Amino acid sequence: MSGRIFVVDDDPAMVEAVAAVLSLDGFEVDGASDGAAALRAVLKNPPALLVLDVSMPGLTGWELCEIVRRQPNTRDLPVLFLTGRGDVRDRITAMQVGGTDHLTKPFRAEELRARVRALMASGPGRGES
Amino acid sequence: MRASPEVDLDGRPPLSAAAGAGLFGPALLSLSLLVLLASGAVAPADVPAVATLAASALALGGLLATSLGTRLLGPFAAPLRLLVPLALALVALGKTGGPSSDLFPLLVVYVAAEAALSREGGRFLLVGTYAGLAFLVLLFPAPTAAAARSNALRFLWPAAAAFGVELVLRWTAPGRNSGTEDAPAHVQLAVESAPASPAAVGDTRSEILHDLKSPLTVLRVYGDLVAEAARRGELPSEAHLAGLAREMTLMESLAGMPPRAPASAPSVSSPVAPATPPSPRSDLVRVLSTLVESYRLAHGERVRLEFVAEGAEIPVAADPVALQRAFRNVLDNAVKYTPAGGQVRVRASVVAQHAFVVISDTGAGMTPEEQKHAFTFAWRSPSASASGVPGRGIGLGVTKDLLEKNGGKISLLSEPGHGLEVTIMFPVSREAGA
Repeated sequence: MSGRIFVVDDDPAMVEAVAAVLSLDGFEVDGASDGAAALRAVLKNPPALLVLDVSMPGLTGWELCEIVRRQPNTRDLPVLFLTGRGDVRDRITAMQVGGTDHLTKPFRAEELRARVRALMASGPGRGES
Repeated sequence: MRASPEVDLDGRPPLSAAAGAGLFGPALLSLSLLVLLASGAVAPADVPAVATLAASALALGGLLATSLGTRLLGPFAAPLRLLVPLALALVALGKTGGPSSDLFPLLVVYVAAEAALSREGGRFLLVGTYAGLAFLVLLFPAPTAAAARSNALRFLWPAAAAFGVELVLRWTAPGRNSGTEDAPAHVQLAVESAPASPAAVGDTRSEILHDLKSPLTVLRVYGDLVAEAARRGELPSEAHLAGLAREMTLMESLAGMPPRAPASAPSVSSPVAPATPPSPRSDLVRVLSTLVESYRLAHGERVRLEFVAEGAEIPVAADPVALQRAFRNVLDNAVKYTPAGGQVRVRASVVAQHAFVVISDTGAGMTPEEQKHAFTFAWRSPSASASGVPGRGIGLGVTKDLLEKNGGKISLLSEPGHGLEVTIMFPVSREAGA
């Protein structure tokens, strides 16, 4: 598969790890470790998929997602949340702010790959995987 | 120890604290009233007026802070829950005779107990109490006892109504103290880091486990990639092995294991001698400017953050990921423990082939005893724990390990009440300017 994916996590090691998995699948992966820089990059050049950590200094992943959803050129961008908190309340909030899917840490490489493939295959939209 | 390894939306007391504490005040006041009555400090004829005033103060304050404030004001709700009834009680005290009245001991008991038992806002409460009393002494003449009772009765009906509303809200919505299910999304955003239930509040173990999830994920992902390569009959990527080794080092630090020699990727036997991986190299200016900008966005309205670098680039032979994690922990602490209106300064400089990063704040600082234990794993000072600032006491210990494994050193300088200065030193990369 191909396409550009943008990964945002305040832990740069997580960005590197996610990029390592997805680049092996043929995706072009860019990343950022803070929400504001990520927002600028995403709005300037929208990727095919946005992978977001939830807890970050500055803009949280949820806030970033809400902003992205309000922009015409990124309104339908698929968003995959990665978070260490996987309770029902967090999953609901992820959906409320416009998230497309939700992956709880710690996850396996294959699980990440499968979710991303499904989201990329379904294309722009808000469908659940 | 003032420490936290992960960035949260910090400085936020548990949502349940304000509402939960609301039951304490009326009980305490009732008890105090009985004691004062039994000791003769309050005449039986004055009990209705005193009780009315106390109930009105608590009911109005509780209504504002627990029923409305928690939703609207987030971290400010708990201090308000204490300050609002206090302010009302002070006004009532002035109307009924000022500090010379029999109500004064009641107020002192209330303030002392609340301050002792309520972590959030305890200091605010004491400062507010004495400032308010000074104000009342200056402005309010002592009225007659009859006027005092008359004033007190004016509080009765609005107080009773407010108290009733609070009770109704509390008993008809039992889940609201710990849940935000029906809150709008933007409000839920602000409570993302809050524990999900009162039982989880202050649960250090669960917080540490949460902080472990990120490095554990990275470890697992690189492990999967190495295993997949092996299944394909290929050699694992050097980058993946290096990532695996780095995360192992971090996990060892989190587990409190002593630092070992600088981490390197495990060797892989191969017919072709692998090239020696290049030494990691980071630019301190780049790493710090990005981090400070993030923290400015997150906390800039509360704390002034400043970054000054002597030079456009300060290269050091250190892993940029480890540096980001280490600096993030220190910055996180500085921001958390600096009160509103304070300042956090980050300075990067080079002196005699050594790069120095000094992160100073205008917070409460540390005592010599606290500094001695600051790098001990999972240790928090009693004052840090009592401050109500969330923390697990593992950030600075991990930071020290991360820095030492990358050739750095960290030291603390502080005088209680005058902030904390954290100095981090690295040898400048020999490739500087290359």
